[in-house]
Amino acid sequence: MTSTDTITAISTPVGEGGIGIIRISGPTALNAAFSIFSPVEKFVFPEPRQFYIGHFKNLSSKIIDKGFLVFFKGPASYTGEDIVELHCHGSMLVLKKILYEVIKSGARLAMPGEFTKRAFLNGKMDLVQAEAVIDVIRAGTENALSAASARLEGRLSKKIDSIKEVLADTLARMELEFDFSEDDTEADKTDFTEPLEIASAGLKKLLLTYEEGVVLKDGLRTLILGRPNAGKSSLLNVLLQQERAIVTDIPGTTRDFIEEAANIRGILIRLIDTAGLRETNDQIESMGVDFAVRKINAAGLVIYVFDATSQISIEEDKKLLEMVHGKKLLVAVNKNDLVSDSERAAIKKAFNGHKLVFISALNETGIDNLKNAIFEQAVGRTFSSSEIADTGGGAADELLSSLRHKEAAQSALKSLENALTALLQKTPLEFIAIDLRRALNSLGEITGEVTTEEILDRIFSSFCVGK
Amino acid sequence: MKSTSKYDVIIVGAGHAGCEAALATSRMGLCTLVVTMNLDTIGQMSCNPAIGGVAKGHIVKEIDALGGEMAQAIDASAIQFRLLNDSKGPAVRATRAQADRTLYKERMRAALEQTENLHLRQGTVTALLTNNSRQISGVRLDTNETFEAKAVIVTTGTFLRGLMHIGLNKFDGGRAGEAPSKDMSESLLSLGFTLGRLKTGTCPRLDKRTIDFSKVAEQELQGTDIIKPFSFSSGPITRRQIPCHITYTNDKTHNIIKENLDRSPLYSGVIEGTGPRYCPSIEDKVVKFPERHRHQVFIEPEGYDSVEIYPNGLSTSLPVDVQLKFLRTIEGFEDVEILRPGYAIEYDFASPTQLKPSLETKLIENLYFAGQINGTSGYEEAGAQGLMAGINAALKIKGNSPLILGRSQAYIGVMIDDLVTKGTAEPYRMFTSRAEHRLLLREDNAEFRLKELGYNAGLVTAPAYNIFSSKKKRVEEILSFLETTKVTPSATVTTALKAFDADGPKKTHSLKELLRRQTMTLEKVLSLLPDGLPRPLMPCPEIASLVETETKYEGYIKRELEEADRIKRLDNVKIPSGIAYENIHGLSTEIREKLKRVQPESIGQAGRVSGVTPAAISMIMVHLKKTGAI
Repeated sequence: MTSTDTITAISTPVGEGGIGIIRISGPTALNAAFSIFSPVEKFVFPEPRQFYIGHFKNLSSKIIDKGFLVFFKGPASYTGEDIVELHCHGSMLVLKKILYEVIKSGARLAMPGEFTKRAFLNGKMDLVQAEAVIDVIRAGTENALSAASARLEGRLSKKIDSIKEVLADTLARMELEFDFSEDDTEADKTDFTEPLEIASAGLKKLLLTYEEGVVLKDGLRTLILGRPNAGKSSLLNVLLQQERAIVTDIPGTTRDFIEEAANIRGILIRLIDTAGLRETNDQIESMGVDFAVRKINAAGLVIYVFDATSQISIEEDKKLLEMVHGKKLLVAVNKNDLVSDSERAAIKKAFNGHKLVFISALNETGIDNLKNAIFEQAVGRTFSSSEIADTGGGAADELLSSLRHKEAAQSALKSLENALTALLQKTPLEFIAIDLRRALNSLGEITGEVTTEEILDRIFSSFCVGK
Repeated sequence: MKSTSKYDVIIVGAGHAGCEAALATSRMGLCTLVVTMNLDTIGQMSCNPAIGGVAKGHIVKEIDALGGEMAQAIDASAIQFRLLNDSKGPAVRATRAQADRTLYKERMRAALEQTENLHLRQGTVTALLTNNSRQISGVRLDTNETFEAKAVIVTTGTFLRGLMHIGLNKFDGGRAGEAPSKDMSESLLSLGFTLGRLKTGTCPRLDKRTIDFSKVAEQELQGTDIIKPFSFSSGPITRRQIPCHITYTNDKTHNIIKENLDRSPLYSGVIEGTGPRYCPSIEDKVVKFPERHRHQVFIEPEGYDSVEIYPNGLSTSLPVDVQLKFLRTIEGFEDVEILRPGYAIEYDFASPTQLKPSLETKLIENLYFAGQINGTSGYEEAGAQGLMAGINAALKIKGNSPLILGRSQAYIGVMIDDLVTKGTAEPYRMFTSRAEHRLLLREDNAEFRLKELGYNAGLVTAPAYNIFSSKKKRVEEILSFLETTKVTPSATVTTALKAFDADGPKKTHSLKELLRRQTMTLEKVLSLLPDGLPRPLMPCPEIASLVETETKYEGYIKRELEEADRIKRLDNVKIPSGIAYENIHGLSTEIREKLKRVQPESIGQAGRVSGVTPAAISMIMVHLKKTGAI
């Protein structure tokens, strides 16, 4: 039994690691890999089990990361098929970017346990391995999500179910048209467009929430930058203390820096600790540009702490700010209690174009505003006070938070758009029903499939059939 | 004629399933005996006088492609053909025909009588005989005669402990005016089969001479340019077509029904069996859809010469006096007389999860069930099962492996897979929505899907197969001509296309690409070729339409094929029989029980058993791997 499609997934655990691996398995694994990997030294065909160094580039040839490609020729591979492993740096961001590119070039995101499934279908697996895998698959179904993300998933299911409801009803009306065309069912036979438009609008709206969903589920890695004595550690402590910080103990994250996490306005903010740097006098310079860039790259948000009393050297700060160009950025103007109104106005002017929050880390003033601003930057919308009661996961209605769900919603949307175009072109109803079924199947990957029996139940309960 | 009591195959029953089964085994060269309670009711249509319809017409064409009889029988006896869903797409388009009930029956009996190796016998089977309750050995009749056979196919319809209801009167019967079979149920139970109870019903038959046709609307006949025969080997339909008429119930009708619900066996709790939701009685419609002020009634003639009318839509089990009273409130029926009252009937069925996909029972080797005994409803569903049971009984006797049709290969495959995998809670009828890839299962490609299988099984004759082969070649030639022939943009072509409501090509196109345009047909596309250029002759409309469908919807078809392949791959991973689900680590008790009951033959089938999760499937695969089965 050999598979005809090629699957891919991030194969290293979630969290910060030194390296990350993306695995691609299937007949077009090499093609998919070479659509993004360009080797430093040219070679015609990779030898199996050799490391090749090169760059990962996106379609517009922008370099994402530098790393290795390793090729395992089937059947001498884990799954028994051609496998390519792409080794890159362990940042989730880089891994996801590379994964996106691999999917764009024709591979499909693997289902949980699918590599292993292929492995035992191809006779590559011994008993011990197989049983271990079963546990993984089971753990995946009884997932150990945090309460917040469970609530997130619950809301998402509700939303997806309501879209499915609309689609299943519409499909039932179409099937009624096919199977009971001679019956006088008094069903509305004309309007199939409107419900499809409602459903596709719902999906579009949902897809827009992906970024926020990811932040709410995985948290947002936040880097606190600033010149010595600007008040970075005080701020860090305020944020951590007030929120009864949990110090995360994720294995493998201690190589370069550790993270500490705070729950800010319902969002897991993963503060990148600068502990190792506090001692030196001129931290930015001493940490080395390379190191700084790496940390900045890993961050989803940068809080730049500016000492309000050191306006004389403001140009230096601006230079440092250039390093974080393109990142989500907040400027926290610390020691606000020590400056006058006119000085504040001057600071505002100097940082024109940046989002400023005036705080005093020592006196713990302005911290609420800062938290609101962090929320705003993280999810791209204003924090409302009604969300305060809900400390678990934001107050957004429903959010997409996993790549698999996003893909499923996207493919459902694509099917619906096909259906709408087909309706417009007066394609026979049967083909619109095919697109509708596909949309339902895609959404079924998120919250369970709609069976034929359910469609028939809908027909029999809503329409008088049987001539 | 053979004068021994030993046969290869015995068929119990001669309804739609029994006839197809008997014809299949005898045509495959096996000495076959049909035992029926009444030789005069062979091929009887017990309910509405019609064959085909959406999904059912598809099944009839599949029966024909495999070498069965039903399509030819209806072609020879139809009084009105209709093509349904013509505008809704190539796969939901379907053929239906009203039959002359008597002609159909006679045609089917003649087919049986004219087939070699096929013997008929009137009698009631009272017991199935076995070797140690493991293997079938024959049957015993009410005359106490015994007949030996290598295989037995049971097609008893609604006769197993049939209990008929008209109002609160109930009486034993298998069909109007016919006795039920009681001993057969006992025999099945004693062999260990589980039986359940289903219910169905039928309309009163009305006297045509008492209906005022001036008060009802005539349903327009479809032209002979639209209608096509069922069988791929029948000639064009030339017989006279006679129309149906349409009338409606009204509030008065509904009131009478509501006032008399206490005398309805359905609503007074007398009936225990589950009835079909898609074929409700008129009392059901009135109760469940109180907002409706009328229900449609088709006035269907039962034949060219018959005075009997089938008022389709008025199935009922109300008392006869109430039937007459509500009928007479309907326009055109003011003075109507009933010839035969409507009734409901409850009967035993054997849950089809007790069957293998070959329709052989899991309990008793070489014993097969087909038709309503498996919980289905409909002549077409029954005929198809009879055919498959016949083919598989014959194949097994000959030492060959069974013919199992896949879900993307035939509606018959969908039906049997549904039945043996999921069982059924109500009489099972085929709907197009039951097929996940119905675009692949069209009426127009039934031969392309199944003819070769029928030929290999020995049912399709060599001449019939040769005709199909040349047709297939023709289709392939035209398709490849369309693909390889290019048209370059020119004023002539643009003008010609304009005339067909299509834009002129901006670059060189193949004829295939031009045919994909909405308004284009094969004929129009071929006319674009300059004179003198070689081209295929314009084929018959049937082939032209097939070529157009395959071309215009190629994208959809390809995707459906890909998805169907994914299912097929899992269906090809076989689960050995007798697998010990107790030994599979991690399966829940519930899932284990379900799998033990159904005994799926493949990973694909196991995945379709309701309640079996993907994780459970993975666990079974691990087990199969561990034990070296895959």
